[in-house]
Amino acid sequence: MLASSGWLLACAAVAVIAVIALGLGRYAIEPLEVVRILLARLGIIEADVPDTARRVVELVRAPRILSAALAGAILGMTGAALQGIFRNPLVGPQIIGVTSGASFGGALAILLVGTTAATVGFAFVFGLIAVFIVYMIARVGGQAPVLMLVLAGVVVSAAFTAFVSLIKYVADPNDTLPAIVYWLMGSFATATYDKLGILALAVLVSALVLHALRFRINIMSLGEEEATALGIRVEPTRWVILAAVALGVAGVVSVAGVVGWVGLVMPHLARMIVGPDHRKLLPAAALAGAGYLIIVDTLARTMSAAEVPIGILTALVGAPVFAVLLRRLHLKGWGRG
Amino acid sequence: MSPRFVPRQTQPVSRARALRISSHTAKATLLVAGVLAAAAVAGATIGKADDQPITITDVNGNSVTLAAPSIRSAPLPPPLGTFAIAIPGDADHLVTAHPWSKAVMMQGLLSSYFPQLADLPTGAIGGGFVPNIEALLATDPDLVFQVGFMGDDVLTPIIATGLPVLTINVTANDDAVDWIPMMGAAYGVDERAETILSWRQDTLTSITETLADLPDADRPTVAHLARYGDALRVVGGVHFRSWQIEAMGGVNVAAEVPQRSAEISAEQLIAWDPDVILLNAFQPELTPQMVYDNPVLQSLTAVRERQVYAFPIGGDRWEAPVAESPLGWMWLSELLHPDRFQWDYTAEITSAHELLYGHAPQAGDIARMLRVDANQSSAGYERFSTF
Repeated sequence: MLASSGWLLACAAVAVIAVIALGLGRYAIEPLEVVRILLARLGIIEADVPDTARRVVELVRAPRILSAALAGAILGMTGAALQGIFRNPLVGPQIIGVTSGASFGGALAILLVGTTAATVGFAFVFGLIAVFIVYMIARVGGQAPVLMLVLAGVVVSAAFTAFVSLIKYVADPNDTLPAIVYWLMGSFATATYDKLGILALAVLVSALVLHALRFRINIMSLGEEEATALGIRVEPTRWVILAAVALGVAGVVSVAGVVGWVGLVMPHLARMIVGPDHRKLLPAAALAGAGYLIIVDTLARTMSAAEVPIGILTALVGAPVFAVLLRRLHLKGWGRG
Repeated sequence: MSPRFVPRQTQPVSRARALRISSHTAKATLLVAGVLAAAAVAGATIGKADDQPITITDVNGNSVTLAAPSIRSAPLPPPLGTFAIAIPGDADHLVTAHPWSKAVMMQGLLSSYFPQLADLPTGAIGGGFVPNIEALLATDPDLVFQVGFMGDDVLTPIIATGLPVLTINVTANDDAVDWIPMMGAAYGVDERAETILSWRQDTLTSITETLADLPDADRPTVAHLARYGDALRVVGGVHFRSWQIEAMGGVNVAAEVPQRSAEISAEQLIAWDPDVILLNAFQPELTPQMVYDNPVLQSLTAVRERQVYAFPIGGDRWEAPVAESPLGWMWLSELLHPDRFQWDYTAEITSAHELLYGHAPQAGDIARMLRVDANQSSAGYERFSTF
């Protein structure tokens, strides 16, 4: 009973953050007006709201806040899952190559095609390709040991990062280069309902798979031998999880570019609160990530007239928080079993 | 509502004519001299002035001495590509150009005036203004123009080759007033440069005078979008284009932005709510209709009153600090203050192109330059449709 009210409280907190964020922005709208617009849209009240305010809330802020929430949630969740199966607190979605693969795909699409649909599609496909290459490199005798996976991830990330640099080198410095650079830094400024739909689909599938495998992630976090001894087929399970992670992260990268640190820091924060059991850790990391990214994105769009790239803010906040968390790691939370 | 300011048409035309005559005379002199030289009669008579060394000091204090006027220059910064045609008045004084510059040469009228531009190489300068030294040397230049405000890395490799290098700055003013005399000296055409500079300054002065009594309340607010697409990029406060908006009697809504240009959210644009939106010409596919059709921007004053305009493209993009900037100023001043300005574009563009390039636009070229097709759905553009 106590536990379920805690979850309710956490969900309510994220919802409150989202509604407050909906009332903040460069275009001044009274908070009450925002509430009226929301209630009118939901059909709860009949209200005559100004067209400009309605468009700002419904077409600019709402898709952006929902995108940030979904992206934060899936980054937190995938980070927690990866840290579990790799038994390594320093692992984030970047480590399996999906982020750099998706970055390359998106940059290539901006260079060659220039449409949103192409950016999303390319980022997605190349994110999955990167994971597949990691798998092919890491596979030794039908198995992929954790060390090989991590090293293969580093190699593939380095290669795709080089390809991204190559694209930046050949891109038109006036037109496509700023677009690529800005997209790579990460931003929800271009959020639309179309992009939100794509993100939501990727997040939903990814989250459902990870949620379904939460017990297995628990067992795999005990170690490979223990998991095998307990009857888990480690290899296939690991790859299903990696594919789910790739899907979720590629979805984020394709609509918002590279948003670093969330997948690394939020699982730690969640673990300090709910402990290492992935049945609780996965949803907790998702809620923490969602709330956090809404706050950071609100800062990014309100601090100055010019947009602040969100990657700068998540790194500025994330790095010191991560340092503190690392110091506390051996005291609390990371213990297993 | 009679026009308070009627632009002078006769003066630029007569200047252009005078210059063309003098340029023909010069060509004839060279031809005669060449024949004489070939006959081995008096080989040393060719242009005595050309043998005088020319010492030029740029705005950053770099001094170069040229043995003779440059005939194979490498204008690396984008706006100088078309200046290297306009200042000497032909396309024979440049051996390479920036890719953006080459792009607009091909897209606008210059490639029809000077078909040889199609073969102009662009490999000497790449992203971030980093020169490709070997590609630069392969074009065999006798003088290089480069930006002086992007650090030594883009400059020292060129200086190390021993090539003379002159630098330019780009600030929040019309820096071309420094470039024009410098390039005039480099090409040995000081008088031509002087004529081009006075046309520029006279045009600006007449606009400034016409706007002298303009109350602040009558200055429309303007957003100049340096990029429009998924993301919006606006011209900030420290930019030639921001200076240009203010000088033409507008107010740059993004003057508070401390960068040259910056990414903004759609919400910020809505909060600023500019009266007029200017679209850059670096994205030539961009049309006001795309802005009018954007559901997010429907409530903007500029959209409701259909005051979104794509910048014209002549020999170069009129929005930039280029040789044709005075034409851009005429266009912008008239858009912002139609009651104060009625320019005769056929006369002005024709005389400007004769002055700068020695060629006159053909029928239909002027409407294409003014981008009547793209802008025809915008308020007040009928006045440009007659050209």
